[in-house]
Amino acid sequence: MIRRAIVRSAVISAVLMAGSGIAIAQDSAPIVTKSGALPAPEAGKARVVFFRPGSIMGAALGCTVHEGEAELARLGSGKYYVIAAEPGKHEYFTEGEAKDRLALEVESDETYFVKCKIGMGVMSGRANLSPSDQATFAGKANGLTLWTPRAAK
Amino acid sequence: MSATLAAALLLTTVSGIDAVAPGEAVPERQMPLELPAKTAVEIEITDTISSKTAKIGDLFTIRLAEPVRINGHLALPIGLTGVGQVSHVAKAGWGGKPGELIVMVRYLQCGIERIPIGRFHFGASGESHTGAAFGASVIVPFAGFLIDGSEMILPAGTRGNAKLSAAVALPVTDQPCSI
Repeated sequence: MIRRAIVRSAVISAVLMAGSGIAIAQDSAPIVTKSGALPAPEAGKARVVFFRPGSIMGAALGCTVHEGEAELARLGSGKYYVIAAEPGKHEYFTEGEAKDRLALEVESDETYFVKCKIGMGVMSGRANLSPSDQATFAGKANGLTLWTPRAAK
Repeated sequence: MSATLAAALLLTTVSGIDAVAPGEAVPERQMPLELPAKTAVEIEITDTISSKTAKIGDLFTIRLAEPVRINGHLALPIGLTGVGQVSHVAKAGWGGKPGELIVMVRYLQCGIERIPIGRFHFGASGESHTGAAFGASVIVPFAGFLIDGSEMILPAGTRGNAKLSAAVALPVTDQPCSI
C-alpha cells in the first residue's frame, strides 16, 4: 500500500514537473521496486535502466541484453538491471530468432529507461529492446525485482 | 590648471567616449554575457519526423521557443534556429511491434557561433500529449506520438527543454546573435 503510494507520487510529480518544464529525471522522488530504490547514478556517467515487465507472453524466454562482446543482463519476466554507462554512443542488442538493436546516445548524469518485451516470432518469441521512460518504469516498479548476475549470487 | 581640466572634461563629453581608468572595473553593461553550462532552453522541433522515413543520423531543424535572459539582458532571442539529429530509429514491424524514434538536439546557431545543447526532454510546456514523455531524456515513449498506425511520429511544433552543454560568453548588444 505504501509502495503504491510512493509510485503514484512519483508518477504525479513526474507529470507535474513535465508541465512546469523542469523535466529532469533524477530530481523526482526515488522510484522504489521490490528490491528497493534504484541505485544512485555514478558521477559523470549515465544510468541506463533495462527492465522487462511481468507478462505471460514469452514468460519462459529470457531477454539477454548485450553490448559488443559483453553480456549485460539476462532479464526474466519482472526483472530489471541498472548499468552505469560512459557518456556517448552505445548499441545494445538482443539475440535470438532475430537480432534487435537499440542505438542509444547517453549524456552524463542522465537516466535512460529501456524496456525489453518478448514479441511474436516465427518459431519462438523475439526479444525486443525499445526506448521507454521514467513514468512507464515507475508504473511497473512495484512488480519488478533486480536481476542479480550469476557471479554475484 | 583648472581651465585645462575643464577643457579635457568638455572634450571627453563631446566625443562621447566613456573613459575607463586603468584598474577601474568595466561597467556591467560592457561585460560579456556569461551563459553557464546547463542553462535551460526551451526548444521546438520545426520538422515532422517519422520512424517510417527517418534514418539514424538525419538532421532536423529546431528553434528556440522562449528567449533566454541573463540579469535582464537578452542573451538568446526567440526564434533562434538550430539543429537536432535522429540517434535511433526502427520502423514498425509485424506482430504489433511499434516504431521507435530517439532524437537529440545538437546546437543553436547564434550569429557565427554554435551553442552546444543537449539533455533534451519532452513535455516542457503547452503540449499536454507529451506529458507522458517526462524523464525519457531524449527518448520518445510509445504512447506519446502514436498517430499514424503504429509508426512513431514526432509532429512539427513539438516542444521540449534542453540545456547548454558548455558555458558560453556572448557580447552584450541590442540584437544578440545577429551577424
